[in-house]
Amino acid sequence: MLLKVVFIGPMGSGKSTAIQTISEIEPVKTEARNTERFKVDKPTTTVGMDYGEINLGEHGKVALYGVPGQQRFDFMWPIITKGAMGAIMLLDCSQENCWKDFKYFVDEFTKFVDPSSFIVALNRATDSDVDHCNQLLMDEGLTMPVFCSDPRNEQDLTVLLHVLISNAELRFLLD
Amino acid sequence: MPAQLDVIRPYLSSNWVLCNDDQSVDLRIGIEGRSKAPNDDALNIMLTNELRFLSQGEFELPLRVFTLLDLLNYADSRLSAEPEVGLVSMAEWIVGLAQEGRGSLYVHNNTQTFICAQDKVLRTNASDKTELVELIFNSDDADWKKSEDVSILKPSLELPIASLLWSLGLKEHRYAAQKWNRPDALYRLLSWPQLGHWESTAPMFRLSSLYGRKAATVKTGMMVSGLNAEEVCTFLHACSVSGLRVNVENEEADTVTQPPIDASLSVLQAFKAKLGL
Repeated sequence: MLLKVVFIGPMGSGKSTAIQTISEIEPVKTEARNTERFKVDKPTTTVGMDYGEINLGEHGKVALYGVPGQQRFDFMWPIITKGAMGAIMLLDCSQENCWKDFKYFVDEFTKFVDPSSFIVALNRATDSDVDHCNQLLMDEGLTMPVFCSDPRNEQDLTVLLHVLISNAELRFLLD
Repeated sequence: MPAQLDVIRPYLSSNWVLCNDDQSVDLRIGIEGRSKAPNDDALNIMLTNELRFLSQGEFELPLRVFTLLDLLNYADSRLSAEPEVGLVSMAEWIVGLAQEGRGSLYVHNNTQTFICAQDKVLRTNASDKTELVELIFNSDDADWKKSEDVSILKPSLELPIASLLWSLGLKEHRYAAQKWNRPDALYRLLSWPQLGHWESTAPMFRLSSLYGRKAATVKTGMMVSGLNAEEVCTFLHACSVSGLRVNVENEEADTVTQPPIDASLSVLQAFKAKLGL
């Protein structure tokens, strides 16, 4: 059986890094030269998608997908997220447009991902950032798990996956 | 019912008698989903077909003679229990200090440990968080004296208050059970605890998922987490004192279905095992 976890978020938020951190295979990447260095200063960026896997032996595997963060690739988002057990939205709080991006991605992805299977992972965040994020969600009438999370830290990512599993188990119980 | 009562009477510690609907009673036995308890001081016990809830003072239908015996002895224990007078939450006391906003200094009578709570940080001369949590938990507010002597304020530790209150709240089982175990109340969590960063266990993930997703009773929390009522209440209490908003609603009881036997559940179990959870 295949479980699917999708990493979403703006360019430079750490999606590729997160997949690199937890994937048990060498991630498949579609990197190209970054032509938007004025937005996020990194030499390359994902233009198709990232893909990694966690092997569950006889039970199957967990497929890890990273969507390209740029708006011009938004046509791919519903395709990649289809059938996912959950989505992890990564956000780098040190980026200038962080909260504008957050609102945009929440608005866009809740069109095709059940909000109850959504997690927000804030990178380079303070407790105030977490509070602010929770308040923004409350203003939208949404409750989502919000965590400080470093995409390079396997333990942080394990917590996120644990939350996704709990949410998925609850959907079996409640729906 | 009168005949059943006569049979078990020698085994009862109180002299229970059957009453009519219009009489004032100590115990009212109803049927879950059909009976509505009047708003009085009587202990209400609902009979249910849901066998899984039996351990928490609910009894199955049909009501057999031994179940009636258990039920009346259970009611006896509830009715004769002394109310816990003066049970206080030190976590709520700290919340109050932080909300004062003036950074007032409090010194512990015996240990000279001080705390100064302001906004989101607590400053202290305690050597670590665990020691401080133990000290606060084992004291009451009378053990802490307000001090104006700011010269002693040489903190060795600055702790995020939310994390400290979470740990403290998790220790206050008795207070939590008294405050949060309301059978008719539905609880809804408006933001999640920082599981992983704050001390956490696997059932807490389930409880956060449940109460973050919908308003639910303590009983539903017990079912999805495998914890007892006191532990679920303690979780809700810890959420509340650590600044997460917990809404309380009074509504009809929520419903939870038994999980379907599905391959997806076993693969989720495998995923958890893989992550070492």
